[in-house]
Parts: sequence; structure tokens; C-alpha cells
Amino acid sequence: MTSDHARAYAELLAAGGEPGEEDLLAAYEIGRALAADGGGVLDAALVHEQAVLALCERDGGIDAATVARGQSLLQEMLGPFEMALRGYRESNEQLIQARAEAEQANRAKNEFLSRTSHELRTPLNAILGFGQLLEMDDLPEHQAASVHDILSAGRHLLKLIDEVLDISRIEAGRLALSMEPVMVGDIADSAMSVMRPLAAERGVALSAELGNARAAHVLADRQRLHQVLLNLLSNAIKYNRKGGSVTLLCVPADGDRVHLEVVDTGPGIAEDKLERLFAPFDRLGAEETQIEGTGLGLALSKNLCEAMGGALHVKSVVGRGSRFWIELPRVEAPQDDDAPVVPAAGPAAGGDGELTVLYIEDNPSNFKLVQRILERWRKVVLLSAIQGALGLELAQRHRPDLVLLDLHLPDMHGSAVLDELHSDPRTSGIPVVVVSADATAGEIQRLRDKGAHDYVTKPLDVTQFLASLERALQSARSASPR
Amino acid sequence: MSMLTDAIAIPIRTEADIVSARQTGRRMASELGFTPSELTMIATAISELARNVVTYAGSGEVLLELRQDAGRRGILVTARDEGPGIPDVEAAMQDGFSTGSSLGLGLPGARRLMDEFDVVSAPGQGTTVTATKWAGE
Repeated sequence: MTSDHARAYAELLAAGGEPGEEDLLAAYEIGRALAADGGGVLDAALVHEQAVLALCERDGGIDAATVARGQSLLQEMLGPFEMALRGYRESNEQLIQARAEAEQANRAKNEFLSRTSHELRTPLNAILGFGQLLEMDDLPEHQAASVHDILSAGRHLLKLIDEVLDISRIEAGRLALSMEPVMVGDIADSAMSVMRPLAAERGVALSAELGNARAAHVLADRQRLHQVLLNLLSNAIKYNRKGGSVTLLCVPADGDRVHLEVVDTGPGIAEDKLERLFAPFDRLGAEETQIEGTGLGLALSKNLCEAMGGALHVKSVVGRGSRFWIELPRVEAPQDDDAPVVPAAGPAAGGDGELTVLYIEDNPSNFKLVQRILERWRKVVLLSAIQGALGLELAQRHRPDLVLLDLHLPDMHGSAVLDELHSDPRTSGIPVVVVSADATAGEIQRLRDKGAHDYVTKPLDVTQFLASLERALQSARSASPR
Repeated sequence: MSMLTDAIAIPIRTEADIVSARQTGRRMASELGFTPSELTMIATAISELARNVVTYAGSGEVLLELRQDAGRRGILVTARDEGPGIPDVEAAMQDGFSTGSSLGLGLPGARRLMDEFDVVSAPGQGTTVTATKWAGE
């Protein structure tokens, strides 16, 4: 095809003289045909140069008039390429624009998810809180069963919200991780003890074989690694057979890496389904079974492992079981072995005297819930303030034993209330427990750094909430006998 | 300005008519101080518009006019036919770069060579394309 164009162009050039509009149109048509055949600017340039060369060979040279003719013809031949190039440039700009818009939309989606998740936690606080209170009552059996269902559905929803929130944070690159050397034995023991009741309930044998690796350390966010281990272990137990087993192994791997493996004797996963395993909401058909799950756990676990600089892998044999392993960088054990001190949630530490508690909270349903929880706990005079300024006034006047503090107050942010409480000598000794639906690690750390004694997230877990109040009272007593 | 608006209509039926439209357009535009590469772009755009008239309507006309606006001068090319018309103008203005089906020639190609471009068409109503290029832009 190109040789036809070359021949036609060579004849056009050889005709000599100043090119007429017919010649120019012919050159343009050659260029257009070249472009339509998939040729490029280089092809057009070669067609022109070959024609010049052929003339030189024939005549032993080329005169200025022919050079000028060739210039005009070449220019017309390149016209269609100019059009096409402008098209590529324009469509490239459109693609860049479209990508920027898609990224913006993704950011907006994450922002929306994160905000919505936060808003959803607030009503869940009432559902789970009052549900837990009802559970403690002496209810007739069918009512107790209903309450159990309400709670289990509520907790499922809470888990879903938390996982959606985490995934959107990871996608937005906003997940705060606190990386530290974590001892394999510690984290494994902790995960195993949480999972034992579930394994016993399902009739699955749960064991850990850590061997020498027990003392090894990996670089990870302790809480997130714990979360991933729980996810893998609970999957291995839930998707197992009766009388099956789940084993947690730790093996050193190449290049200073450590593998934490969870091996199960479940049904296994077919090769062609393995890829979908980590896709959010894809439960590989498990949604048709009785096994509860959000469909987000593995997607989140994989994202978390990668965010920690590691990886999550799987191997599976249908009919024999699956093997999931977390790969993390191995690090030296830290020098000073100051393991985090977990204060024991002892029995009522404060004696039986009457307590005064100030709760600064603008949501009446949250207030009512805490009121009901405290009534069951011990004799409490509960003071209420729906605004930060009013709360400060009450704190100064009544000097309560404990302050419970919400963060999103109508007149000022809870952290400002905390600052003022601490800077006033009349109130600086009062322990403050933050009670907030904002469950982001960064916010929790910020308030703790400011001197909050504890940070309890809504929805409240009644037992943990009370344990936290006990600890706050205990520490206040030992610090300054009032 | 010594020259008032000048307009020439060229009937388009055959290849020779395309040549004459290009030639007239090039001559008029050269008087406005367009660069050689801009003259090629104008001739190329006229070719694409006139070629569409021949291919899709069989016959029509190309109207060439000099334009003056706010101290600048340009050439207005109008290609008119009474052919079958374009059912979906928006689609016809798409290159198909996204589908890989076209090369950026034709109507969208002509649009890119000119400064202003407009297509008015409907099935059975024929097609009118107007395109302007301003000198010194």
C-alpha cells in the first residue's frame, strides 16, 4: 500500500513547477490515505525523501524550484497527520481529566463512607447499650432470646461499619499505624485466648505451635496485627468441619521475614476462586450458609498486612484445608522490655461510698443509657451538662469524682473542655474518661496525650465501660487522696 | 479596513469543486496574514468539509467569507448540503479515539484545525457546518 502512495507522490514531485491546487489536494489525499492505513508521520517523511532521492538519481541533482515544490507538497501531505495528532493530544487531555475526576470521586466516596460510618455508630450506641442492659435483667426466655438476637445483629452491624471505615481509610491512605516490634509469642497467646471459646463452641481443636519463634519479634502495629490474626483464626474455625483442627504456626522465612500461618482442615477453596477471596463483599457463596460474616474481613486483613509493609497469602487444597500466612519483617527485640502495663479490671475499687459523676453529653439517649448503666453499678449522683461551658461550671462547683466527656459538644470541642479542666487547680485532679463515637486511632491518641484517663468508644460495651470507670477512680485515689 | 466583507459561494459536486474551494479559501486566507502552516490547516479543513458533502449528500456548496470582529480578522467556512442529515451530531463529532475506530480525521479533525466550529443537522434536514479561523491566534 505504502509503495503505491510513494509512487504517486514521486510522480507528483517529478511533474515540476509551482504546484497547483490539484497537486496540493493530491498530496493531501496521499497523506490522508497513509494515515487511514495506519501509517505515521515518519512514513510520510520517508515517502517524501524517497521521491527526492529518486529525482536526484534520475537528474544527477535537484534544483531549488523542485525543493520548493516538495516543501509545499510535503506540507499538504502532513495536514491529515496534524489533524490526527491534535486528536491524540485532545483525547489524552480528556483522559487525564477523567482520571482526575475519578480520583476525586473516589476521595469523595471515602469521605462519605467515613462520615456515614461515624453517624451510624451513634444510634448503634443506644441499640447495643440498652440491649446489654436488658440482657442483664431477669427476662422470660423468649424475651431473652429476642434481646440476644438484637445484640448479635447490632454487633454484626458494628463490625461491618468498622471494617468499611477501615477499608475506606486504607484506600484514602489515611490509616494511622503505630509500628513497633511485637513479640510473636505475645500476640499469638492473646489471639489464641480470644478464639478459644469460639473453637470450643464449634468443636474445633485449636492449637499453636510456635517453637523457637515464640521469642521472635516482627515489625507491626500491635492492635492491627491482632485484628488480622483474629480474622484468620475465626475464619479457620468458622469454615471448618466438626472435629477439625486449626493450628497457628510461626516460621522464619527468607530475607528476614517471618510467616505467621493459620492452617485449617476445612473444605478448602478451589483454585479459580482464590482470587476473589480478597475482594470486598465476595463471600464465595458463604452468604447462602448459616455462617455469619461481613465479607470484608479478608479484604481488610490483606490491606492491613500490606499497609504494615507485609503481605497476606493463601494456599488451599479442596477437601483438605487452607493455609493463610501473614508475612511481616523480622526485627530485633527492643532493648528495654517495657511491655504495656494492662491495668487489671479489679472488683469495685472505690469502696461503697457515694460517688459524684459529671457527664458532659448533648445527646439525651446517650445520657439516659449511661444513667441506666451507672444505676446498676453503684450509688452515683449523676450530674448532667449538655454544653461544655456548663460542664466546666458544674465541675468547678461540685468537684465530681469522675468526669465523662463527649467530644462533639454544641458550644466547644471536648478536647477544649479537657484542657480547661486540667488547667484549673479545682478540677485538675479529677479523672476524665472520654466517651465518643469517634473511633479513629489518631483521635484516641490525641486525647490520651492531653491527659484523658481513658477513651471509651461508642457503642459502649457495658462491661468494659464499667471496668474503665473503676480504673479511673482507682488511679485517682492512689494519686491524690482527696 | 480597506476591504469589506467578501463572500464567495462554490458549488460542490466533484473532486474539481473541492480543488476550487481549497484554492479560493487559501487565496482569501493568505490576504489575512495567516502563516503557511495555518493556510495548510484551513485548506485541510475545507477538504474535509467538502469531502463530506460529496460523500454523504452528493452535492452542496461551500461558502467562504471574510470576518471582522473586535479588530481581528478571520475566514468563515460554511459547508451546506441538503442530504440525508446527521441523526446524532454529538456522536458524529466523537472521534472514536476511545473505541479506536477512527483516526481523528473527518468532522472532529476539521474542528481541531479551526478556532470555532458548529454543526447544525437533523435527519432529512441536510447539514450545515460553520468553521472560523482567526488570523494571529
